[in-house]
Amino acid sequence: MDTGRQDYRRYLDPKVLAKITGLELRARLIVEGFFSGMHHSPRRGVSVEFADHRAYTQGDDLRHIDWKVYGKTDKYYIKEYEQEANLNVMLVVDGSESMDYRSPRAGMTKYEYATAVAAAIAYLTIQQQDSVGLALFDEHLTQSVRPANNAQHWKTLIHELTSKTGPAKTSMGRVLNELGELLSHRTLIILISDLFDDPDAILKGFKYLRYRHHELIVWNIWDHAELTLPLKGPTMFDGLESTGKLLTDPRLLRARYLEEVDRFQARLRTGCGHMHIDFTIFDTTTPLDAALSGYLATRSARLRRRSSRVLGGG
Amino acid sequence: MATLSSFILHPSSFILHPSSLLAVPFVHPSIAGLALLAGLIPILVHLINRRRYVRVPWAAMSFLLAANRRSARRIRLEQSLLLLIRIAVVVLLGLAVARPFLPALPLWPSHSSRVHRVLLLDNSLSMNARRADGATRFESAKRCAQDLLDTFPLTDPVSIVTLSSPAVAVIAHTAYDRRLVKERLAALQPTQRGTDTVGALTTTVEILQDSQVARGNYAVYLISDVPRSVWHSETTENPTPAVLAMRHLADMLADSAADLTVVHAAPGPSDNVAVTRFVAQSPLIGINLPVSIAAEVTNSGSSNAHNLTLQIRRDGRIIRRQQLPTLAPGESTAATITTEFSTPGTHLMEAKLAPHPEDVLEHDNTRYLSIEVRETMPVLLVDGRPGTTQFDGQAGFLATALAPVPLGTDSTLIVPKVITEPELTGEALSDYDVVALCNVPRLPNQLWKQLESFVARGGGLMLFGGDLVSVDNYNQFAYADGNGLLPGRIARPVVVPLEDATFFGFRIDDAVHSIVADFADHPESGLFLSRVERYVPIEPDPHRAEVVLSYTNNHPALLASTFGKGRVLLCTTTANMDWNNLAAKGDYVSLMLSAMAFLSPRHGDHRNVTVGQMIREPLTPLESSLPLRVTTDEGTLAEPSLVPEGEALAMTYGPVEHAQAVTVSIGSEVRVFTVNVDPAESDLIPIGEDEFATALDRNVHLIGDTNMVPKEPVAARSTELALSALYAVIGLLLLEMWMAMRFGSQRSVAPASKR
Repeated sequence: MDTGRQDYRRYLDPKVLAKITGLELRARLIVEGFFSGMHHSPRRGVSVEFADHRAYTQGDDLRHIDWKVYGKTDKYYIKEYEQEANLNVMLVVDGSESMDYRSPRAGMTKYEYATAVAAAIAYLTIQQQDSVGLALFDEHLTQSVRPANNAQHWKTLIHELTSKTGPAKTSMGRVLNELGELLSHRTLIILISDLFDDPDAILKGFKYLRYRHHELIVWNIWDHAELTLPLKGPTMFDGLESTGKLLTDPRLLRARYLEEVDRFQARLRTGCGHMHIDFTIFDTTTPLDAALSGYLATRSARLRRRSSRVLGGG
Repeated sequence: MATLSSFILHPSSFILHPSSLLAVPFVHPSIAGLALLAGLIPILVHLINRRRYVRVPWAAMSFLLAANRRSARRIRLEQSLLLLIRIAVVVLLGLAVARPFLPALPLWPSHSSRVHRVLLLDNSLSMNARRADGATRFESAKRCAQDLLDTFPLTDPVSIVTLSSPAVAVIAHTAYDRRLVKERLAALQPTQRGTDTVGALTTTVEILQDSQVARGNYAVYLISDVPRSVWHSETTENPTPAVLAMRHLADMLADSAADLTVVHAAPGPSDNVAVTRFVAQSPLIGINLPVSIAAEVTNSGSSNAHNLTLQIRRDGRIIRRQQLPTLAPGESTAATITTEFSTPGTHLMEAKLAPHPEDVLEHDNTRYLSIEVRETMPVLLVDGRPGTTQFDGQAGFLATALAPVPLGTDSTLIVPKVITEPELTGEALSDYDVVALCNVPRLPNQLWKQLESFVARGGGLMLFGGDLVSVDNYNQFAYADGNGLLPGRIARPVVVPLEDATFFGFRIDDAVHSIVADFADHPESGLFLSRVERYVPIEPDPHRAEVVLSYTNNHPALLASTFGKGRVLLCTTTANMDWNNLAAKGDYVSLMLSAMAFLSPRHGDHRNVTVGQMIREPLTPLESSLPLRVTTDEGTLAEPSLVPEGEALAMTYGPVEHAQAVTVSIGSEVRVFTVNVDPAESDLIPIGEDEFATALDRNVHLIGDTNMVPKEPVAARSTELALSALYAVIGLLLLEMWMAMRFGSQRSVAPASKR
């Protein structure tokens, strides 16, 4: 049993996962690996979960009286449950050229990492009876699939994730506006991107989505080399998305570069914080369960806020 | 107490020119030039590195560009600073190797820099002379050198050069280990060799040219008996080789403001009488033939020499004891004896002065001579027209003159053989000492080449004129544009006009040649009374020909020249009475014998060598296979070495380090070699101070004696900067490392946060 759990968990390592071809299989292995690491499985069916006790009042359904407590205390207590509501999840994945970057020591490109996470989230979401949709973007929204909840839908999403078009630039502000107009219902938007764009435009887009009452989770994907600039010696940096070229010794620029990266991340983190947006930075060497557990925690918190209390069956 | 007198040569160009202060001079200026060029290396490395970059795609370009915008100026400044420091490191390192130095001001000499000191110590024969205090000149000179050595700072490099021939750099490269220098100095011994002053001074110049100390920081000390024979020049325009070499060294030192000290190790008068010459007066030495041997005794001391007795020994037995007249300083006397040898082979002659109490140098009181007594001297006479009787042809006259008594008689040395020109082809020339061509018309080129080879190996060739001589053949093959045997180009025979015939004869040229020396003071001799009717005019080769005898019209009659190891004589008239009546005169015999003596190969000359030379004896193939043994006068037996000589072998032994007779046994045969001292070493008269100054044509300052030799060593004239440059390099390297770390190449930076 332990051996099997261990086998699945190793697929959470991006380097191991990179050796698996096929996004569908990758997603399943991520989810298997994620759950084999937990002490219980949500697949036992806890869509209605125990929440608390309260004193019996007239009119309460007798079926919800906790007779074990009555046996101990000689008082009637009613068991309270939380009822999970259906959730609309929209996975928004950045397909721009900058997401194709992979440093020599990384297992996969940022886009491969993003699609693996997105596919696993989609799989998990459908398993939990929620609806999940997908939007791919670069300068515009290039593909979008409305949220739905069935096994065939997941395969559609996988197909869309693996059919990215050619390299293109990013225009986050425009994309977020288009996304806001696309989604008519309150939706939990999971944005998976390196966010290499003007932070002000990005935050303005986030603000717009929040204004439209959408929940937002932002996963900022980085290659490890982008966070450390480990290169040495004279190097010609050839910018993706036609951002220019630079010949320099990266050792001389590292400190300033990392300052710039820090400032960018801090700006987004602060902006997201003000808008109650869950902002998380991943690098492509991070095990993929971190994204899943982050998602589940956020989903749980969202549901708790949105769910209505149920007394007995009422 | 004996004293040493010293001369210190002060350079004239002692004051520095102000312009020299503007530029730092170097010990190795060429390296300094290379060091400046090496400053380009960091720039080239920088440029090459810029071209050898790695190309990487990069997504987070906006951050990189922003960082670059903020850092570009700072990075450029930092990189420029680093580049400048690296250039400075390379250049300074190269300059340190080039050894820069700062010429110090004359009134402010540097005491911190090193001075290269060269000690020249005379250890030649004359330094064996005893001084009044009983010590030899060499012992005194060595003590002086040791005293000087004690005054030198321990950091000063020292070289030692000895003057005995050939001059040797005992310590050529600078020695800093003072114990080693003292050991080498203490181990030096006097020799019986001659003096190689020129070689020693030249070696000193070479040592200083290769010196590793700053130019100018040189001091040279010459400790010698400063013999007049070496240093005296009649005029400053005609200096001796030693004076020239000394001037060269002095000029080199003067350029760099250094000192040259000459210490006279033997001041004061000294008496010495020596046998300075001991030779056989004729090379034709045969069995039972009288031979004259001359000994020369010279008083090279400073007072009259009385009661001198000379002993002459032949093969170890005294054959003459002769009292010599009183000799004034510088005066020589000759003692000649005539003796005979009854057996062929080498014989030892010895001339020895009886011990004299005033004589300070004993090694030159004896002189040895090895004489080779030959059984016969074969001579080949080739006659172009031999005739039927003895006196018909030229060769007949000549043969009679050379061997006046019947062949086979005991007193006959020269054995002539007369042949015709066609018979020459079949003769082995190496069997003869001399070949004479008498009225030979023409010879094929091949025969001329054989004759050239014969003469080049040491044989003698004599040519006579005659009516048959082909001028064209002789000029083409024997003169060969100055490359052949003839000492000049000949022309058609000239007939002396009838009106001049009565007075036309021979006259001796101004420079009296040894062949006709005996006739020089006898104008009534038959040579000058004889008349010449016809002769072959010749245009002498000015580079080779030596006119021995001329006609009264100044045209050459007898010309001598050398060719290889041999000699050639050309008589432009006939050997018989066809063209002259000399052959009828009695002096004809003397002249021809003298000519043969001149032409005869010097068979035994190589057995008389000077101290320091090798003994060398060519061996026949048979002799090469016989046991060889060398016996010195000390009874030492030694195996000689065999070395190739031409197509055969030669035995060698030596160099022999003191005067003596050495016998070499080749099988059962014994050959005597003699080793004599250089007679120039017997001249102990030192040069005077004024004379020395005049000869050198430089300022000379007399110090006086040993006590006046500077106790304070010469201070360095220049300050070396190499060490300072190295310190600067180390400092710059540390600065470069710190700056490189500071500027980012080594800076540790925390990665951007992941939250």
